[in-house]
Amino acid sequence: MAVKIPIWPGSSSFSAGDTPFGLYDTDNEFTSSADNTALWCARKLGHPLTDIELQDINLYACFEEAVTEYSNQVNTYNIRDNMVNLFGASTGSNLTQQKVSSNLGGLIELAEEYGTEAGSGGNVTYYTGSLTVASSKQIYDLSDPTIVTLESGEAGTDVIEIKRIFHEAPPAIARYFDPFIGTGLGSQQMLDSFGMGNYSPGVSFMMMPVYADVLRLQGIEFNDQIRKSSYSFQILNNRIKIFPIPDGSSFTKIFFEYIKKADRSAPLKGNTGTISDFSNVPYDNMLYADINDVGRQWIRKYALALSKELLGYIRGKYSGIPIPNAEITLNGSDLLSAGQTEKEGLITELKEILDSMSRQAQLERKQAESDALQMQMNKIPLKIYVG
Amino acid sequence: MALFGSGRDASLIRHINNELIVKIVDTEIELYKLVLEDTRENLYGESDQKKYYNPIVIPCLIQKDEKAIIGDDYGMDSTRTGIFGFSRDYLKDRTIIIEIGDILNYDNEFYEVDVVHSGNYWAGKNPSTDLGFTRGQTDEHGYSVEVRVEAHVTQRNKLNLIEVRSGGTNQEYQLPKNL
Repeated sequence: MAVKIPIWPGSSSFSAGDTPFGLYDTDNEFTSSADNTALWCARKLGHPLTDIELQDINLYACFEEAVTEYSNQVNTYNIRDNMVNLFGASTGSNLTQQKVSSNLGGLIELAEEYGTEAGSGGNVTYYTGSLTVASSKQIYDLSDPTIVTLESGEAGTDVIEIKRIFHEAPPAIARYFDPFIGTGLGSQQMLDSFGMGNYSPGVSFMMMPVYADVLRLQGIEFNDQIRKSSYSFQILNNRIKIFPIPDGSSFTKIFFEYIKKADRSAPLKGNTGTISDFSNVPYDNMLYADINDVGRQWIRKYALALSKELLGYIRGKYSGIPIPNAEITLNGSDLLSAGQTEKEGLITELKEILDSMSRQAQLERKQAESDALQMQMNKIPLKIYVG
Repeated sequence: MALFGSGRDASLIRHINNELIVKIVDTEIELYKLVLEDTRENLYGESDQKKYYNPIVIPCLIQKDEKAIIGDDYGMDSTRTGIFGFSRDYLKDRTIIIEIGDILNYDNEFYEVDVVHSGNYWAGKNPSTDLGFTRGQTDEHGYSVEVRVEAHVTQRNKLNLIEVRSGGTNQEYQLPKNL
């Protein structure tokens, strides 16, 4: 018995399981539209005037792919437009057809590396360590665990980078006599001579501008730097050279802050299981029921283009079809070409529409609208005041 | 087992052939088959009193050649050849067998069948005779496309299918006898 594969008879009845993936089998809008879409596609392909060498399941597959393609395009656009707001967010929340609020989380996370290097925030821990110094010894090896104590890790084993060394002269303020307590500057004596001493309490003061304090502090610091051996250091590779040469009495330890280079280079920082890239942003296929009529018309057209392409493949599998006393060539290549062109056109159209609705595009449009409105307002004649 | 030309693909070819011949082109001929039992033949196996069954209408593709004029000792005559392509499936489904000597009526001309071909196999196989398929060892492959008939126009007066020598009474010229 010869194999006889039935083709599209002119009508169909969709039931669950008729689509390859069954993505929308529980979506009542999809299931009720499947037969109409199949009928529409078949008629657009020439049925009933000509036979369509497709079955209902082929047309359902095209319809399912069209809905999925629409979801894919819209979701891709949403991911691209919102990615900076989604970095680090939970992957558990379904964002499909949800409004994503703008936030600075992603931008700040991108900037955290700079914060780490600048010592202001960041995502790499600053640890504390100390170097034990000895009398009359100026140069020390920072990889020597006998003199270097680390909060985390071990000197010589863990690669560290020193971020800050607390080896500074005592602050100038410590050597600055407080003018408020009335001594040092002779201010009380000055008040007395003006005859205002009797009006002051036991501890009298005179209000002075702050810049006077700042200038005085700068004077003390410049004095230390220029006229004295200043507290400083020099680090080259693992060696630290300390100024002034420790005398074993004024200080015996030098504290410092450091990071472990392994921490900085660690690729995984922060919480795991969060949105990291395009692939795990939680956008799912949209329900057909939740797509508006504008989207549905795009889907129908795309389903038709897919059907055309599929029919083109079928009719073009063999270049020539034998018929009695002759051979014919079907319109497979025409259908294929038309289907592919239509697909590309629809995708391009949808992408352009989506691009025109990006945050940036919307802001630019608003700006243009505002500029245009402003120009229009400028053309309104001003009233002449008649008193 | 052959990779191409499967029964599924053959089904597509069958659909297209059927659609083209029956629905799109739809040129039909009448097939008159000889009734051998009622046809008397002479000593030489010839017969001028052939009998035919009632005609069967069959769609087919027709290649009608140009008319050829023949002049011989008996005078001038004309003939024409034609090739008639039938869907083998169509004939098979209706158990129609076309044989040499059958008459085809097309375009008010009667063609006598000279040769019948049926060797045009798609993918090189006829499922009816494919050894693997008929023995149940392989799936169906190939497709027997056509029954192609070569025929020539024959003189209708010797077919006894229609009356060609009779004339009707023309009342216009039946004048009253007393005139």
